[in-house]
Amino acid sequence: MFRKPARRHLTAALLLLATTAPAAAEEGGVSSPQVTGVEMTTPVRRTLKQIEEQWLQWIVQNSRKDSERVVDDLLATAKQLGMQRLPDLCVGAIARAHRAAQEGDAERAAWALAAADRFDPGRPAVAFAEASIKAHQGRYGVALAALLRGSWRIFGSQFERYFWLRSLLLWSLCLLLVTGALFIAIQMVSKGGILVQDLSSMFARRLPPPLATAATVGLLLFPLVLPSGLLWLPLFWSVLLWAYASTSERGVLLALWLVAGAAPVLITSQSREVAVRLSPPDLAMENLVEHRLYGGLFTDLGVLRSVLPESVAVKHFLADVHRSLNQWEQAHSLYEQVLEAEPKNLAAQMNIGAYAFLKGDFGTAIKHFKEVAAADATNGAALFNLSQAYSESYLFDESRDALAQARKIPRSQVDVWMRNLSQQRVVTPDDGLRRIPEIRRELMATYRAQAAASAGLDLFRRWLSLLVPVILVLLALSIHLARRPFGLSEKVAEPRRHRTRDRWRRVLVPGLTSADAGEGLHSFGSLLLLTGLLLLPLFGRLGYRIPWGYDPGSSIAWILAIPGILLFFGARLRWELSHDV
Amino acid sequence: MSSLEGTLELSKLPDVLQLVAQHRKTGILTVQGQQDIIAVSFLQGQIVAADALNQTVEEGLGQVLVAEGLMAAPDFARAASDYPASGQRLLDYLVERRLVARPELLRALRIQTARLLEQLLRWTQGEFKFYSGDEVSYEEGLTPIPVDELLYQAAQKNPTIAPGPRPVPASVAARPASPAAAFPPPAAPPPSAGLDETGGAPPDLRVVRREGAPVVPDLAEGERVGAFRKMKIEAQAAPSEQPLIPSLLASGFILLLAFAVLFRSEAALLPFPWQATEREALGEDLRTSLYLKVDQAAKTGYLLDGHFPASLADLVTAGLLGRADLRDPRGRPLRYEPGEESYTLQPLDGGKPVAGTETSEAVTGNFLLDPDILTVPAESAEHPLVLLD
Repeated sequence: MFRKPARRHLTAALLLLATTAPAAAEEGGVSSPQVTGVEMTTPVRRTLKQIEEQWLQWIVQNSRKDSERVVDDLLATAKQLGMQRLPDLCVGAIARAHRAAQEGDAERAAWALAAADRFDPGRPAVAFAEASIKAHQGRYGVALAALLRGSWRIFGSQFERYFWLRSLLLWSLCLLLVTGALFIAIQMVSKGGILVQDLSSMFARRLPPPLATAATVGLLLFPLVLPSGLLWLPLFWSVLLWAYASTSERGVLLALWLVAGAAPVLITSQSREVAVRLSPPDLAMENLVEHRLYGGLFTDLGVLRSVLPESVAVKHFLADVHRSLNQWEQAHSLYEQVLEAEPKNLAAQMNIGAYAFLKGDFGTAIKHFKEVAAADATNGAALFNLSQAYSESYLFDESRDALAQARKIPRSQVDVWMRNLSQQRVVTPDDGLRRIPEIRRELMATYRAQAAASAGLDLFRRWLSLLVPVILVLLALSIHLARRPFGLSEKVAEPRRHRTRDRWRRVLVPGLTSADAGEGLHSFGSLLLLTGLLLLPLFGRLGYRIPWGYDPGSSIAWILAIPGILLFFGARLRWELSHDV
Repeated sequence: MSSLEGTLELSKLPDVLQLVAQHRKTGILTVQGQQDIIAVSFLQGQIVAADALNQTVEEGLGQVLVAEGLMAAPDFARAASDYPASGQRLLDYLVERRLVARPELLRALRIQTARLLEQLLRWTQGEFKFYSGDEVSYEEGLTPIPVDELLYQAAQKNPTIAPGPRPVPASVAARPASPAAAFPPPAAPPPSAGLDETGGAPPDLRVVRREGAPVVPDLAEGERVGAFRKMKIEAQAAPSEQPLIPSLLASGFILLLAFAVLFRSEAALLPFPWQATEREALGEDLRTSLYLKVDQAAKTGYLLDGHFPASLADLVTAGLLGRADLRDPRGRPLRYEPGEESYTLQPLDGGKPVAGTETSEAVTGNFLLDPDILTVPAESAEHPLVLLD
């Protein structure tokens, strides 16, 4: 019945619900929702068909002028459905531009990109594609400018921005954790000699020297045999090295333990939200709010209704969708259900009144508008609609009075409504479309209900990682205090050394000199900078794959990373040379 | 005082030493010159040790012991080569083997320290910094060297290194410059001959403190200077594998870490063993976002050509996907099988499909790709006119 949405794990589970949900779609009768899940009236289908045909016309155009004409037609047709953007066609036009550029047709590439930018204005992918095409043409300056423009556009596009920021969070946490692990590794290089010596001495009391050394290595590596050994290994080392660390290094270790404990909690809570945001219902809602008409919109809306069949918020939302598509019969049915569940829902009642008005049932319309105006004295729209209904019923005095009352209400937009009378005779509120956050919460609740078989255990497991830093601190302190009877050594911070022999080691291994001097923050900072530069090109891989529509690659990351790394090591070498004896 | 630092061009070293002595400070003064770094340990304003980065204890001590006639040069050379095998320090080895008496050894150590300091006092360029602390390490039984005494003796030999105008202490001035009280002249070759000019690897000098040993405040009360408890400067001629082991361990760990970041990013972010469910969920989210991206690209290909592309590589060529998108977040290659109106996608692990990760997408329900959904329903069409005979 629905397209297979296995790519969205939430949907896979949610479709189970869909099969048991009441087939509300069958109530329509006007048209069948077998394929899309949402009823579409014949005019809507014709409009959609027109868009499909106009797109085919655009494909075969060969000049900018003709292309612009067809684009105008397409946007005008979409507007009949209350839509302003055509994202699929935007991506199609981008691909067309890319193909033209590869074939050497720069002009066609240019107007295809221009069309893409009109189909979905402000989309980062258009600028990314322009950057790629200009680079292909050897115009690297323009390409860089387009790349930067595309990057800037990310912040103006809600969907891309959301996933880019979530990816940034994942990347940042990964950066901190990896840097932390490297910091501990550097601490091991710097202070591990004494640690190994102490452990060997301890074992040497009962074992011959070679076995003592082997036992030391075994002890240092034993976390690897545990589940998640690669996690326990640096944590174990950090606990052992705590005693040899300076105050600032201990501060850094403490902060790292906290990050390691808190990061999973942060990621888990984000993961649940992201799962919902990647689901078809959320994609549909997101696109509808931005007036984007994409190919699978109606199918995804059908999934939304199937997932939350009893949700009043969803009914209200879908009612507004039908209304915006001019499918008043379907909208009316849903508004009635909303009003039945929420008798004080004035927005639904107003739209029921609007339905009656458009049907010519002015008596019913007046009744509803009057009730809304009585319930909410500040509702100028209700009074405006009332005046319109009175007017249609030839009750001109009442109409004048209602209009006068509407004008008295601050912030009422009577003049605007009057100007738009030719397009819209009564005002219809969009409150259903504003219930997206509420619907998201319901989707999250559905997700949680399915994901967590045992809520208590799940909660405990999720927060358990926060106990890890506490346990590590206690362990480190215990080992530190228990060291005395064993006569272990303590390394005192050494002044920085400057020998030619170590120069390249100091230059190439950031944080090591600082670790020798006991400067924890400096050591961590050096490692953080280098690790950040090294991980920059992995930004796209470590986070979510954002469906840009045109893959920007990791050009910007490489542009920043390679000179950054060269500068980093260059500065270190220069410093070492200037301070060498 | 704890942040005392500067350059020898601006502050004369004798003045710095006197300042430390005057304040009876405990800590380490490091001086970085053009050829070496020397660390001078102070205990309540008196010098108790001096170490040079590029000069080993063995070299300096051997020269003094031989010059003083306390040991024959071949004996010392043999001892210097044998003692590492014993696991002991050179000083303990010499005393235990009765090669030299401990008091003699301490005297030689004191002379060696004084020579190093005299060498230091000749420096005119460099940077110094005083690290103040509660305790320093030095050899048990070593008689501390008062700064005034050091400066007086140094000035006797080289008047240019005298400190600023300051009266010579009566105790020092009254003392005859006998070999026992004063520092003997440096024996040839001078200590600088021990510099590691070749860039070799001198033993790693480390200042260590024995845990459990009393700290300076304990010593200050009722104990004479000569009765210090066990503290030492270890010339850590550590076994060669000991610095190597941590470096090897750290290198191996870094390699494993790099692998984890590249191929198991969700495991790097949710590493705890009890987070398998969350890890799975995150991995699935990451995979879902990839599938969404591939789906958009594949359907764009369908929109333009009327069929799904033959391979994902075509979508990379078209700029719709990146090369990284040909693999799942765990780095496994994706198997893509296009059909007439649908396609399937699944990661492969060792050539085999990964269970539970398959996705199938079709054009069904997409009004741009599936014209069927836009067909006006048959029930709305008018019935055909049938003429009856």
